[in-house]
Amino acid sequence: MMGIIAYYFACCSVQLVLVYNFKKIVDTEKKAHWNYTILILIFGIIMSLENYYKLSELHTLSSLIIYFILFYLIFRESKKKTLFYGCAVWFIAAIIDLITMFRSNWISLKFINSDLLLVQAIDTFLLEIIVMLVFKLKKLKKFLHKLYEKIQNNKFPYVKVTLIISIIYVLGTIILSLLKQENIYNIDKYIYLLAILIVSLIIVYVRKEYDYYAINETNKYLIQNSEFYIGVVNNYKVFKHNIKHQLNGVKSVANKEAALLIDDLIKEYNSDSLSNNEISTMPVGIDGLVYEKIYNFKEKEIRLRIDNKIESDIFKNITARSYNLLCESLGILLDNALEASDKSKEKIIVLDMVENKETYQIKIINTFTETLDIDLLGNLKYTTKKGGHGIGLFYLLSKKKIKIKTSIINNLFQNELIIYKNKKTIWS
Amino acid sequence: MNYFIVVEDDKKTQETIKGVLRKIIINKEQKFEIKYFTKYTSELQSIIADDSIRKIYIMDIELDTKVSGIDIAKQIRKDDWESEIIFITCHDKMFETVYRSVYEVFDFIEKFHKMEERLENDLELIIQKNFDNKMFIFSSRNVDLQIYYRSITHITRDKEERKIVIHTYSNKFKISMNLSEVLSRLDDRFIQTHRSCIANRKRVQEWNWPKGYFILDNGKKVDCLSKRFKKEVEKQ
Repeated sequence: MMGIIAYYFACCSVQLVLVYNFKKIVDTEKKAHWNYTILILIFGIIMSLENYYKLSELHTLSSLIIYFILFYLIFRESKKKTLFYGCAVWFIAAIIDLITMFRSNWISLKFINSDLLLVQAIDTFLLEIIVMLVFKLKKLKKFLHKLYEKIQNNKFPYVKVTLIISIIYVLGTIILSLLKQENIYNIDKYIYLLAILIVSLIIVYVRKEYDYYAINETNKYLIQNSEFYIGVVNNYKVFKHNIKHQLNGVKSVANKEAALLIDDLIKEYNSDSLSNNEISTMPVGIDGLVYEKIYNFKEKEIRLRIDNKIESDIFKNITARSYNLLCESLGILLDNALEASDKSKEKIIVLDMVENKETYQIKIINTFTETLDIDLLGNLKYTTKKGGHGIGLFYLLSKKKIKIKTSIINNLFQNELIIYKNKKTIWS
Repeated sequence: MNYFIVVEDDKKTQETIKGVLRKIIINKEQKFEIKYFTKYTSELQSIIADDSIRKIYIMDIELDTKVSGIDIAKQIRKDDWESEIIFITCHDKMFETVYRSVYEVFDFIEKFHKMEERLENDLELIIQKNFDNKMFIFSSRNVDLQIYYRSITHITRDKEERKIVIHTYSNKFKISMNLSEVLSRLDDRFIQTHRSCIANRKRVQEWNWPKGYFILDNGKKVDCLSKRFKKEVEKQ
């Protein structure tokens, strides 16, 4: 009995040690959800039972699943990152276990007459100390970070992560078999792997294909929409140009009062934000979006200034998903800017667009007249709008593929949207 | 040391500016250095980045290069909101109001309309107000806030939310700080007038001690004046 309890605590402490090592290796800035550590107690029971009933075929598989759940719930990193670092942490611990096998022999000799589970527990505690020491190595951390970045930067990261995990699974199973002096050619252990590998690859492939198909279709539709809007605006410009000339013609034969009225009409046409010629200097697609947004404010006399320094083709430099995210983010930020500037006296919006080798940067600057809580801005449900929303900026700040820098300088609200260029693009 | 940075590609205009600057500098106690550029260079870039000197930029908007005066102003305003910018232009001033607000441009001067006179007036004004471009800076988790001292009218304490409210001419900003902490970060134009209020003396037009209020230069009445602080307010 004493042995089972000791082994149970050893299983729990192994999990704690690996959680600690995971945190150190990932170097996460996120706040850990330590309330999930209760799971360690439950997983400890599962691992103890597994060992008690000698279900060694399941050991590798259950360890990978248990650690993935544990790391994911506690640290909330992306699934891909958790899977990679989780497997790495577990695998390195297994290698250390194999390399330091002599320690098991030494403990067995020291406690020759004790309960087997108690001996295993002592052995586990000793292993934990060694594992902790190894994970303190900075070079190990650096190596894992580099490996993960390499996988991230290349094509098919999901497939690569799956393959690496499979290799880890095979090697881990072999190591465990060696540790327990079992037959490493036992085929059952590898059937689990094959099944998992095939199913996960199919899921990943189908999901990716479906996503790209859906996004490409949406983009085609959006581009058509944008072209349509530009066509409408161009027709409107021609119409306005003709009307202005006709009005000037009428003015030349009109009396004083009528001439004044005509001047007012011409002034009204000139102040129309829809005829802003700078919008047409913007990248295709985004111009349509800006037209659509300002159309709702066409009567409001908002002064929109656009300064576009983006010369490259956005469609050739970002993925379909990033493009959608760019449009979505720009839409939300423009909505906010238009509403806020409309309430202000100056009614100014500036769109400043630049690019460098790695990113596109779009700055939206607007005037506003509000009471703002600087601590709460960007939090869920904090809003200055009537009826309450407060989801837009919070939603954007939670996105990983874009960066938003918000600042208020000199009573002007500034949002800088940074989107990263990719190798795999919409049309590739 | 104060710097005049002139960015102008037209030699004639540059000569005119030179003349105005000589006239301005001659009787001043402060030391000035003048640098001339015809385009955006690495030397200009390093001057922009140097935050140890006070600068007054006089720039042409339409430079004969890819980088315009507006682009240089953007570069300056990335980090520096204390320097002054004056634009010289010969084109229409369609977006003058926009740029004036967004890049805190002191003035837009037309090249062919009383340029010398206006430039001289502007520079005298800037020197007189002694670069009053200090800023109050605060950062929260998601937002960076920077407000000119001169645009803060007063600061109050929100008793319910236990935050302080910074009042400017158009907006109010709530931040998590206490009054004494804020006061220590401001200069001597700010004085405590009440246990829950700090006022910008330069923005106050009238102190009414018997009735316990003060009136700001935008006409707003603030009921936060306590006799307890009278001595200190009057002392300064």
